[in-house]
Amino acid sequence: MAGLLLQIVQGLSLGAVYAGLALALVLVHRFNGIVNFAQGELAMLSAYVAWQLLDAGLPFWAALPVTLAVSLVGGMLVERSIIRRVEGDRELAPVAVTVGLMVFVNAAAGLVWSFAVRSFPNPFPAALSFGSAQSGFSALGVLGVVAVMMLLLHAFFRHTGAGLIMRAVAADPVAARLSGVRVGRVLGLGWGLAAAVGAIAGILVAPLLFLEPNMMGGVLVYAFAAAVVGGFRDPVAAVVAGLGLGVAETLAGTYVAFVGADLKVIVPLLVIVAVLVLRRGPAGTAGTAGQW
Amino acid sequence: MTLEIGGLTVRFGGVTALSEVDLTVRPGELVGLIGPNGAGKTTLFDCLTRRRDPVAGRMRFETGELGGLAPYEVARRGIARTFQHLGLFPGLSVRENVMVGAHRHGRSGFGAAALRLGRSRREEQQIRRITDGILEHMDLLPLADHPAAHLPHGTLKRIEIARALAVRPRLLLLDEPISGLGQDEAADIGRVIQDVHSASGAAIIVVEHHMGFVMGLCDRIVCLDSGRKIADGPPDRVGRDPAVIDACLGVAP
Repeated sequence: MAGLLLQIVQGLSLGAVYAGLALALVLVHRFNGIVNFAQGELAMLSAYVAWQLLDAGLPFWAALPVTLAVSLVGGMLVERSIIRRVEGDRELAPVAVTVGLMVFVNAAAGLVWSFAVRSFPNPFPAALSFGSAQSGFSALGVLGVVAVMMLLLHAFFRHTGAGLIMRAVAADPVAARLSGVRVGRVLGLGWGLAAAVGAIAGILVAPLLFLEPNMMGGVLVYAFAAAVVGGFRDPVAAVVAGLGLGVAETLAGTYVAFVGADLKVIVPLLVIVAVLVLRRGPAGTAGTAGQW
Repeated sequence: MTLEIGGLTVRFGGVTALSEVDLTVRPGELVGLIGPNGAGKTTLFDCLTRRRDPVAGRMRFETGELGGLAPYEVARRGIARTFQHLGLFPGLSVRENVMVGAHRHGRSGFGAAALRLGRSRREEQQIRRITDGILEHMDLLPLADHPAAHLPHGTLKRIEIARALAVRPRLLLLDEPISGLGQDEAADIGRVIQDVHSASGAAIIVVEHHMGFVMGLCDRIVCLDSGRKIADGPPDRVGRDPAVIDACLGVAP
């Protein structure tokens, strides 16, 4: 029974990472209708930035805000320099560009840091540091950080002037522009926020998966599945789906004999297929659109 | 002059949407812009709000040219617009919609404005005060926290006008404000426009198919047909103009 509970907590913490990256995907898509295939690689890059800072001797809780700030600015720069050129294009060009960005960032990280697997320090205290109790502790830490991030994001969108302007742009960029909103700047800020949210996912998952340039590949598949459940528009559905996928994956891997560790990646793919078949395309959940 | 347009010409491919249109609007004037479908009325608004580039001509608002402005700067100069088909933010409440219009007021310095994160409580309160003042004036205060969707069409139109007013425009462009409305709602919007006109002192251009509506409302009527201006004058004279009656056949008063 304690084992099952621990499995669920661990599933939830893994799911929180999926939820974080899914939220980043939804953020980008809400603002400029682009599905960002490079979101996972940008998060991996952020994890390397954090690793570099830790390596230089910064304590974890100082390296985290610096990494988030770097990611925010980096995301805005990517939007401004690359994405802006294909933003109006609704079809293949943005997909090709973000897939290209994904491959580029992956290769560049390999060039700079090599493809060697590095250990990444676990930020959560190893009190009660024996066996399962410790992993339960750090799982709760991951859940806590992601929960705080989501609350902050919610508060930002709901209760600040900048959040209001961003919601207006997501709803109708043309009308927002005619009210004097610099829409381009808001789209950049959307990419920056998404990169920062993804950075949190990357940093939290790095101690579990070990740091290497291909670290986020698997996570991105789960995050995609979670984002698809929310029609790439609904942040709440994406987060709930991310958590559910984490639990389903962990439980299926442990308790369903034939799934095991190798087949569990099928879980998110089945979810994607099921959602697409049932909903006939990521049309979104109209009822909750606009609700952050 | 509030607005001076000279020789404005717009082409889409081979079609000339506007052909050398001249138009002058004095401060506080209420001008009706009429003409059949495809006459170029909305295209004219699109040029003024920098959504479309003319191939020739000049547009001057107060003391500055509009030609080189980025679209978001148009509102900051003092021009606001509503859409023929509603342009509200449906996921935002009525009050939030109007706050987006008012967001430029009470700004702190440029540094804080860059990300709009450093706005003080006092500034937020000022925006809130401007917003609630407009909502009250437009009888929308009871609906302030309702989402700007699933409301009667006439109410949605009023919310859109309220948001445009929150920009504190000196030129207000209303694109078919009574399209899709019943008689009572249309009369209500007519009163709202008159009220806004006298209270704000802004110059207003109303695009409308419904000739009777603008004839009764405006000081001056301009008629476009196939991208050309065919009449410009007081309502009674333009209403009797054979060219106007011919162009707008079937919707003449």
